[in-house]
Amino acid sequence: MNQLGQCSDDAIVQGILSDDRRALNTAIRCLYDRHTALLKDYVRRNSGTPQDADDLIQTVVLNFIKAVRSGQYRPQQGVGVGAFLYTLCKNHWLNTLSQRERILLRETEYYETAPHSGASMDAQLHLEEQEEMEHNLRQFDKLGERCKQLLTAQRRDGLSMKEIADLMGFENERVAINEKYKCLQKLKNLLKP
Amino acid sequence: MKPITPPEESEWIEAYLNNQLNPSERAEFEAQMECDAALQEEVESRRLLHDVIDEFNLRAEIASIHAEKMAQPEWVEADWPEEEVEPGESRVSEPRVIPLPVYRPQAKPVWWRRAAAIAAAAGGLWMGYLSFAPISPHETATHITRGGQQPSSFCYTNYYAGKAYLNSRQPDKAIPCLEQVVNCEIRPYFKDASKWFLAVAYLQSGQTERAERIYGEIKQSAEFEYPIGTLDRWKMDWQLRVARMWPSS
Repeated sequence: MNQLGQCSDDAIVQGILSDDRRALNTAIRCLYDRHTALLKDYVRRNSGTPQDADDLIQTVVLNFIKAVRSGQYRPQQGVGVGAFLYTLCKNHWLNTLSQRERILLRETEYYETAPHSGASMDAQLHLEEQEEMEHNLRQFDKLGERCKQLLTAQRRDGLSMKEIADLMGFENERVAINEKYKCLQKLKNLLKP
Repeated sequence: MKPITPPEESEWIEAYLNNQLNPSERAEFEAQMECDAALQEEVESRRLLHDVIDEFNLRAEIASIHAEKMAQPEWVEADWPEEEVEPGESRVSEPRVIPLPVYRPQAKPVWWRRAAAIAAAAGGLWMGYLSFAPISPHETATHITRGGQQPSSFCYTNYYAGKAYLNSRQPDKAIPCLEQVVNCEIRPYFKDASKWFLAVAYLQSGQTERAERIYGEIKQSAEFEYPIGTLDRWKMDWQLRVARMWPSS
């Protein structure tokens, strides 16, 4: 397989939009192989630590996948994947810095005078929704390990309840369905505001 | 038909959300939902649970690939600069072992020979500097976005990405971004800056003719707004000349 073709902008977007977990995995690997060196370099040049780069790269990759899935990013718009990632990276990093109250004056000015550029692309990832998702994920983490395993494995791998029963050692499919129901109820209660 | 037990109903809702019902089952589900407020609520609440589980899975997938990629040798912190050290903390570096020079007795050089040698060495260093020192875009322009014009984000995105690629020595990736900016309707400053960056990118990627052409335009332009440093101009002139003389280099 041609490495570049497999990791072209179109191929990456197709992989992200695909229902196939392996295609998504390949697309994420492509993002790492082809594009994250630039993000790391950006953090390095802008007084970040390796730890900062670690956090930022994962967040940018996640936000990129969301932007593709929600249709906010389309390669046909004339911005390459690398360029879009870079914008997400820059905005996220400036947010991080401003939160740390270390932001440089000129960058503040830039953001005040030019809210249209790039920033708007990131802004669609509404802050409030993100906050809510972070909260929900923390709650999800409070579920027991077995519940987490059951729910994530089933959705991730698209397993039938019969397969889940076999995988997790439940007596039969019915028991698995009942267990899953209990887990979902537990999660629902955890997420209640 | 709506299942009787709650766990079965839960599976039914999931099959609906996952598009696993056949058309008649789906129609039946939707008919039921229309007049069953409790079912509507269940569907909505289930959607949220799926979103949370999917997000958890996605993050786990990214984290696992991230960990794998970061463990690869090219990612390990080799190229991180010294600023990493926290303020106030002192960097204790390993003493570098400098090999002792081998002593060779020589005839005492005449003073003008010494002067000539120093001048030649300085000239060599200067030529070396002009030939090999990188021409890199300055950290510019972030404060020059005053005024009411609102260039499209498309142009800006490509501008900053192009500059970043150039800064990180990836001219081949910088070129397509910058070529777009040059054709953008944006403030002349950014257009001019992009032309200069493009000339540098062409030069670095070995496309001497293109670099010369665009640099020629820059030199002839009477109202070029981007301030190119004198040293950078010299480097460009010299490196273009070298590239012309030895096209392969």
